[in-house]
Amino acid sequence: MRQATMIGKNLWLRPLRTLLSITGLAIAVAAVVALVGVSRRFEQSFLELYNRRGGDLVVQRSGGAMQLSSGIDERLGDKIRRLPHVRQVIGSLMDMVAFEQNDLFAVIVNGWAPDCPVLDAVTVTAGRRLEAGDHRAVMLGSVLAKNLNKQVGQTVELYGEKFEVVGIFDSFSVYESGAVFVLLDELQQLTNRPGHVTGYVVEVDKNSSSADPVAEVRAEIEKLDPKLSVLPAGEFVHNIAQFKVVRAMAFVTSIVAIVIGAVNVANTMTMSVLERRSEIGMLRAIGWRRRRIVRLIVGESLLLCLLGASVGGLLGWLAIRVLAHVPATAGMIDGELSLAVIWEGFLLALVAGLLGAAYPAWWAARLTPMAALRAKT
Amino acid sequence: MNDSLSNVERPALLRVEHVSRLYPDGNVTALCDVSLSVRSGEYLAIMGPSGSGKSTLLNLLGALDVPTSGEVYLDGQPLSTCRHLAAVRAHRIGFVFQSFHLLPTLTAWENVQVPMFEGARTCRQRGQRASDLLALVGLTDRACHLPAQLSVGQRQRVAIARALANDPPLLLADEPTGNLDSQSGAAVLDLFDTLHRKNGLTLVVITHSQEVASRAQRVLWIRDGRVTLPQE
Repeated sequence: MRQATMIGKNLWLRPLRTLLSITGLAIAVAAVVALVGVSRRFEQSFLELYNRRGGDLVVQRSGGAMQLSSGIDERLGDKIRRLPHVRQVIGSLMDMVAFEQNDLFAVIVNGWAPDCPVLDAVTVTAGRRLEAGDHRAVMLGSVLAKNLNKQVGQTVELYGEKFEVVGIFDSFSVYESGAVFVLLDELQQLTNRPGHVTGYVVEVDKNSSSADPVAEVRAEIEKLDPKLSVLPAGEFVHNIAQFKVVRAMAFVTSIVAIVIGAVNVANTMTMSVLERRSEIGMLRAIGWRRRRIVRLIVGESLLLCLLGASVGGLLGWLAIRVLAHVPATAGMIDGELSLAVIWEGFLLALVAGLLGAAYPAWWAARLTPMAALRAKT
Repeated sequence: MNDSLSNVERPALLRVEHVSRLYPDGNVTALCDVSLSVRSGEYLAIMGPSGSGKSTLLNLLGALDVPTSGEVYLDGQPLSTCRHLAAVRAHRIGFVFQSFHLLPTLTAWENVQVPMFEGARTCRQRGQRASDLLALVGLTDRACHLPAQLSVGQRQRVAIARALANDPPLLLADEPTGNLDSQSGAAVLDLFDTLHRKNGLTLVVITHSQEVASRAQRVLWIRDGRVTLPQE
């Protein structure tokens, strides 16, 4: 027999307490895995959107905390296009709407120019792409169309106006698949931001002779208007205010989960040690060193936490899968979960296990054999 | 009471010199200036009324407690200078308790292995040793049973096997038959006899029972914290 067997049996043969502790830990870990997983995936998907479309730099009005509300003159696009090493410039006006009857409260609306390459990059699965001269026409992402139960030829209401669905498209990005595309000029008019775009995505020609063409273009754009914020796509995504809020929430939730998990484990292990004082006394009497007693208590705690983390990781993954199919969140969550987030859940559970076991293990190790043997179980 | 003259020739395994144990919180002197020695291979019974100090003496002999004054020597080594009393308990002393103190979640075979974690035996060697010891106490067929599935007599025999796990030269037993019926008690005492005669184990048994004491080679009486001879 190994000591690990003893640890396992101590938990296995006290099933109710073990089950309750695992449940408590699993809920905490599931909350963290789901929230951190969604937050990370949110950011990763957004970054992927820029990377796959070749976006090297994102140009926006500087100083705006909320990127959606920032606006820059669309004439700036032509100036950027004329700069050396610039391959492509895509301007877009973004807004957010709600379809309350369908419980969809945060649907992205993108206004694109008719010649925008994004309209060609998505896969039109029904109907057609938006064309110049379209009036009150929209394309719906496939996830949004499914959630709204709309097909080509039907109408949707945006900003109090009826729009005809002229096409339904699919995209690798969950955001685009859950978004509405309209023509830029119509969105500018509807949102009272004529001649403005939310920002530009700039693709740089990396085969040019410059040693660092991206840095060069960045500097040139900043010279055009000192009030512009020109950031590499990764940095831009990382600094989006909404993502910062989500990250902060995920962090706070993780801390709360660690505390709840550690208190839960501490409670379980303290009860367990108190109940087993005479057992611990016997182990000390037959020669077990204090550190072996500590190893026993910490081992039980860590095993509990590993089991809790396993169940919690699975629950968190299931929660994300379910959320990816719930209409309210389907356009924002793609159901993917990175392995790193599950590892973080495990790590968090282990930290909770160690913190929770610290006091009971210390207390058990300090018991003298005589005092412990006299204890009534 | 039997007395074996051959033991007189053997060196003292345990020596207690002027030991007192005072419990300051209750202002109680549990032991007062006790001196005795137990020779290697001796079978000693310690008798006395409740509260006489015999369990306190056993705790001091077993390195579970330290005296207020005086010294306990094991194999000539003073226990007060020993930095690792746990190691002494693990390898030099076997304990048998009145209420067995078996771990309820482990089988008999596993319980016997518990002291062996504090040793150099491999997992396989621990298992083999536990099997051998269960065979010695006649419980091979109960090896896979949990303590709750064993009779009290069988539990005590498992506890004896556990006490022998690290092959200690000294076995200390505190009322080993106190919770047993007469038949189980006799079986345990027979086992002690065997261990003493065949294995040369040194046995110190605390008991209230004259029947238990009659199996020992020598009986010490303890009263009001002092050791006396029966004739005294």
